Formats: sequence, C-alpha cells, structure tokens
Amino acid sequence: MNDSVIRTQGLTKKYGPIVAVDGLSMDVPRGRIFGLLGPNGSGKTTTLSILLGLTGQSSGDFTLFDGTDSHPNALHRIGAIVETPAFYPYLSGRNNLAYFQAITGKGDRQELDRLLDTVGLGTRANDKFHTYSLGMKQRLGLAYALLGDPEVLILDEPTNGMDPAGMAEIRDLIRRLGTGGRTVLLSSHLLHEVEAVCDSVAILAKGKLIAQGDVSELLGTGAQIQFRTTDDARAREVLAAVDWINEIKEEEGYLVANAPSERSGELTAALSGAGVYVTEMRPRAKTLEQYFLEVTGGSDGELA
Amino acid sequence: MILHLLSLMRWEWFKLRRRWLPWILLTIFVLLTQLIVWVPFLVYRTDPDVGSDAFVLPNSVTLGISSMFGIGIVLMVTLASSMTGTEYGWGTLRTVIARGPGRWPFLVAKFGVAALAGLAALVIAAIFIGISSIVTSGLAENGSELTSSGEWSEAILTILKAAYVLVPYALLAAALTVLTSSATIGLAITMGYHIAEQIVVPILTVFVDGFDTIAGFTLGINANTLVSQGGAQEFIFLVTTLAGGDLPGTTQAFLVLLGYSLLFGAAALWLFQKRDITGAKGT
Repeated sequence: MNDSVIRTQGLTKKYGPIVAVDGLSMDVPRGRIFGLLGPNGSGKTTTLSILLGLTGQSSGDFTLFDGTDSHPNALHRIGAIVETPAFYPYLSGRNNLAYFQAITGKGDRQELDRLLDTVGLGTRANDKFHTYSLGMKQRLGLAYALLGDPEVLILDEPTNGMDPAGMAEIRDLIRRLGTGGRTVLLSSHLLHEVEAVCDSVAILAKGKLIAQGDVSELLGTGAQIQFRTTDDARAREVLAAVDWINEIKEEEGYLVANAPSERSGELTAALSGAGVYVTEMRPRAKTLEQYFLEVTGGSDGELA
Repeated sequence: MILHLLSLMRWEWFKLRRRWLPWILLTIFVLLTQLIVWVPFLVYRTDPDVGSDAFVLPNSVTLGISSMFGIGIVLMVTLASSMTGTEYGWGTLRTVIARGPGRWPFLVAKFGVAALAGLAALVIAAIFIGISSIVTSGLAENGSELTSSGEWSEAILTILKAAYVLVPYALLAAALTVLTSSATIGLAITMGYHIAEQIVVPILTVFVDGFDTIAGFTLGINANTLVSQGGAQEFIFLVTTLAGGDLPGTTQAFLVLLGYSLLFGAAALWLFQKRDITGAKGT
C-alpha cells in the first residue's frame, strides 16, 4: 500500500526563462503533519498551486492519493488555503462557507456552525467578509479548508496576520487536526512554527528540493555537543586538530562542537589527553532555523 | 453532470442576487424602457393625432424591448464581464477551483446564469412596461377605446429574440475577460468592438466593394435584424441602403448569432481551461 497521499515526480514549472519549480520529487506521508519550507521564490506556493490545479506544470507529474480519482474528485478530499484566503466581499462569512460547501455537495448547516465556532468566528459569522480583519480572514480560510472533513489539509501561511495568541491557538488547532489519520501539508515562513507543529519537512531553495525527512532525523544529523572546560582556549586548539569535529565555536559561555553526541567520550578523552578537563557537557540538538540556514547556505534572503 | 451544473447555477444565482450590480443594471434598463411608454403618451396628450399605438399593450412591450435592446446589450456586457472578472479581481477563482467543482462546469454555470439574468431582466422590464401601459391608457381620454396594432405573440417573441441576441455579447465579454483576467479590460474591449462596429461597418460598406456581404455576417447587423424595430431598425437601414443590399434574413441572423455564441463560448472555455489562476489582482 502506498503510504504517500501526495507524490510529485520531477515536477517542473517554468515561466519563460525562470524556473519556479525545478524537478521536484517529494512525498507527503499519510497521516503526518508535513512542513514545506523555503525562502522567497523557492517555489512553495507554485508547487501547492500545481497540486490544486490552479497552475499547470511544464513537465513532471504528481499523484494525489492513489491516483485513481480524477483531479477534481481528488480535490473534494482536500481542504486548502493558498496565500491570503480570498472570499466574496459582499457575502457574510457564513454565506461564503455555505457557497463553498454547496459547490462540493458535502456537509450541512450544522457543519457550518461547528466550523465557525471552531475557528472562533461564531459571533461574526453574519458580518460581511469585507469587514473582517486579516486574522479573521485567515480563520475563515481555515474553516473553508475544513469543509467536508477533508483527508488532506494544505495550509499556506495559515497564521499570517494573526496576533500571537491567535497564532498559538491555530497552531494547537493544526496539531489537533493532524491527529486521527488526517494529513496536513503546512507551508510557513515561521520556522519555529513548523518545528513546533510538523513531524516531517521538505526544504526548497530556488525551486529545488534540498532536504526532506522527519524533523527529528534532520535535526539529529550533525548534532552538536555543548561543554565547558578548565581551559577553553587550549580546548579549542586541541579540538581544531580533530578531523571528525567540523567546527568549534563559543556560544553563550559554552564551547559548541559540531560533532555527533555519541562521540562525546572520544571528545573528552582527546581533551584530557592534552591536560584539559571537561566540567560540564551535554548534547545540543540544532533548531530547525539553524538547520535551514545551514542547508540553504543562509544567503537566500528573507524566508517566505 | 447535469445535476452538478444545475447546483453550480443555483449557487451562482445565489451570489448574483446578493450583489448590487445586477440590481443597478436592472433598474437602469427598466427606467429606460419606461421612456418608450411615457414619451409617446405625453406626445399623445399634446397631439392625439400621433396615435396611441406606442403606449398601448401589447405593442408597447414589443416596441419597448426592441427599441431598448441595444442598451440591454451594454448592460449585459457589463454584467457578464463583472461576473467573470471579479472572480479574478477578488482572487476568489483560486478559492473556488481549489475546491474541485471543475473549471468548465464553473464557467458554463456562469454563462447559464448570465443568460437567465438577461431573460429575467427583459421579462421584468416587459412587466413594468405593461403596468405603465395600463396606467397611461387609464390616464388617456377614451382610454378604454384605445387599441394596439400588435399581437401578444409578437411581444413574447421579441422578448425571447432579445434574450437570444444578448448571449453572443455576453460570451464575447466573458471570453475577453478570461483572456485579460480583468473585468474592466474585458468590458472595455467588448464595448469598443460594439461601438466601432456601429461606426466602421457603414463606412466600409460604402467605400469597400463587396463589404456588404461581410457586413451581413457581422454581429451587430444580425443582432439588429433579429430584434429590429424602432430605433434599432435605423442602423440596418443605414447599412443596407448605403450598400444597396438586402437585410440578412431572420434565419440567417439566428444561425450567425448561434455561430458567434459557439465561437465565443468555446474560446472562453478553452482559455479558462488552459490558463494559470493567480491570486487577487484587482478588477
């Protein structure tokens, strides 16, 4: 049984000479919260647009679910918001949802009330969409994405425009939505948000996939050891000559070595052999931000 | 598929009747068609010798609709451009298509609702013409003795023909709006074509040998032929007189307009199916 709900194979999108998505092959595993990260212009939104049938690919292919449904029918099983959600400004939040519920032919009035309450719009449901703040528009977008209880949620910057309390609330909601077998594909420029919410992640840069895997695995790769010694200057000299330590630096009063934590015994032995003694030591996992900057070279500008 | 299309049309209608634009356009059309009743009535009050035919039922309906369907075309083009273009402008097209209704069913539903809205506007205008005719006949001296030269069947046929004529214009506006992804540009180009045709065709008919044959297949001539009466007749009269030719027949006009409808509809659907859908871009 195929355990991917979305699979892209060599997906490419060109706009004239510009390659927005470049041979992207990616698997979104079923039942996981999957993060899509990348700097501005890395092709995240273009990829989502291709998957949703908004944009045609130049070459390559993709499969939704097991590939047996027609694309429009497969979309009935997906809830999505891409960039800032757009709704009819002259309709109320409730009527907007009623319209989108009707065109897929699933759900009932109770579902509308439940979803409006879930996203915290119950009291403003009958107000016109054009009176909503950006945060409220995002909330309505989430309710729209949840119409019909979809198997897959595709969320592009779902907390954009929300205040910190609202962001935390939506993060909790996404975590809850990701349970019970539902798959969530979350595209966000907020690395800590992805790290806090996602199980797996794909990182794009200049349209190409540069890393994909479970968050814990990715952050475990090339982990760091943080320690103090009796003579930090001497310790740096000693460890600079050790070939399996990529880098040693000082951060917040600690020496930090880019080395796998399982080699901490060898590190201690090397230091003690040179008459330097470790007074405190612990493994230090990278943050997603550190990992991201490392794999993207940290020179791709603002994240998007 | 039919049920899906009917459902999409129902909800397209749901959206349409909640907008201000169709109600404003309807009000303009109804008020303008009222002129066809009230102006002849006021003239009749001053000089009864001019006759009462223009404001007495059922001829008032025939005359009102056929004289004002040119305005109806302008209003229909405005409605069709807006119905299609605002989806691009507001960015709602993305939200709709991502939901999976299918691109061509969504656009076909819009076409259907636009055509129904056009027919509904004509019927409503005819009802108000009828009410005004009853009022004016009541106000006129010897009102109960006034008679009309027209037939009810002719009035009904005029409404249906006018609705039919609106279709190719609506589809042209929709196709151009899809092509440009803009209601404003789609409307401007369609109106530009409509006005230019009224000016250019008579001129070319005079100065270019054999152009009268081409003129017989233009949108405007055939539209006017099908619903010709009153003011609209003058345009055809001008062209055919200048060219020394004959009016296109009603059957030819029907078929030519059908051809245009199919052409513009197919172009709109093909473009809509092929083009990428981006976010909100303003109208």
